[in-house]
Amino acid sequence: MQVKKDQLATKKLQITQPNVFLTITIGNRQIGGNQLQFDGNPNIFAKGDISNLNLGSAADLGGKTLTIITNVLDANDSSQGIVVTFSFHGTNAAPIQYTNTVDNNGDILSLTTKYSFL
Amino acid sequence: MNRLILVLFFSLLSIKGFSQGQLNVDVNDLYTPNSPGLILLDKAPNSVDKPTTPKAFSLSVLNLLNGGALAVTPYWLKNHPTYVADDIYKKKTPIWETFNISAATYKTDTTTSFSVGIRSQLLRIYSKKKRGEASDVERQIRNELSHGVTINTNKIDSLKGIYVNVINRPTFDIEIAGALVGTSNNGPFNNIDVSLNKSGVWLNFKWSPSKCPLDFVAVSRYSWSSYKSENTNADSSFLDYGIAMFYSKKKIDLSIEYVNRNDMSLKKNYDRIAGALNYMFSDKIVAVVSFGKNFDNVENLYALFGVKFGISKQKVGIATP
Repeated sequence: MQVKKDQLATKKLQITQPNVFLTITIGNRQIGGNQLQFDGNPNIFAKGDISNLNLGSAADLGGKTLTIITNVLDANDSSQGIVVTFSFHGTNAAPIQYTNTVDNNGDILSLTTKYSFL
Repeated sequence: MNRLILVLFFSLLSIKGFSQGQLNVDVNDLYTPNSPGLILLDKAPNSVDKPTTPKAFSLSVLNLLNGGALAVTPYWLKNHPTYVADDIYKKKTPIWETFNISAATYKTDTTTSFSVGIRSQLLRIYSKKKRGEASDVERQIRNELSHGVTINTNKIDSLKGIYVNVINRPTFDIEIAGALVGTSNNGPFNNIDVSLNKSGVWLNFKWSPSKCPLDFVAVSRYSWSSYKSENTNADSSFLDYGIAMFYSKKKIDLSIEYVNRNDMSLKKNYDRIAGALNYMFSDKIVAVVSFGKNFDNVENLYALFGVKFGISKQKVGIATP
């Protein structure tokens, strides 16, 4: 079992609603887990399955950067494709889709993404 | 002491008498093969391309044309962002998700043999208990994957093994497969002569009740070959069907099967019943009892019964679903 790592550049998100909610969808029948942490804060904000998670109010989030580590296990023997969709409700961003592949069945893809709220 | 008596008992019964010569088919032969397009071709390919991306698929097709083997599930060649892990329990007729194509070609100086096969799951149903078991393992895997850059690969690997075992044993499962083999000459394109040599169709039904460690399997296969029967000069064709039952619990494995073969060219019927019992005394010592009976309606009717005993690390079984 190998762990393939990937990291994306920070994305800027303009807050448009009083609150921001996040849903992370792991597709292709793979299994994934997440860890969310705001930069400068030693506490983990949330972990596990992220569905309609309230990230906070516009006033709280403005100027903060969120780091998400998403680990996806290739549990589908018919596909080595990884597809993760990040949906930030309450921002101007359309759902952000990330795709990649692992080299072997049963491998893990570890993805780090950062989001800066404006 | 009790174990010693059991060993002696099995030793006394170790009369070899079971013959399968009259009917060379068992339930094992009737399971839908993983790659039906490869199983009918007598030549085993050196390697099988299993592309998971459209680009890899294109390369595999090129390799296939030059003599190679390919197995692909087209549905998974593209991403399905909303198809989450839990959906495996919700989709009861996963025909397209499991539709697999396998193909192989084998070239000689004058001819090219080719085979192509398909396989799919028509029905897949998980009981509430099995859904619960799978969801629980899935939750444990997700938890392990939620520690950021700290990933315990050994634990995840072990949990994945449990997860795969659970999802590969649905409560109800119906599978179908078909394949054909042909030969063509290597002449100019406008003068190619293609002939079909063999074909086969498989249909399996499996029931694995969640409340007991029993598996019931009903299997059938129709196979045709251009090989002529000596008596009728007709193409050989067989309709095989059978049922099997498996019981597995800590120290005991029991399997029983019944198979009927209808030789459609000779208008003959053959039956076979067989069973195997494994009792594990320890991790290294397994007592094995097998029994069986074949009979043929045209030859003298006979029945053979035998029990054999073996001590080894390996278990024996009549078939594996």
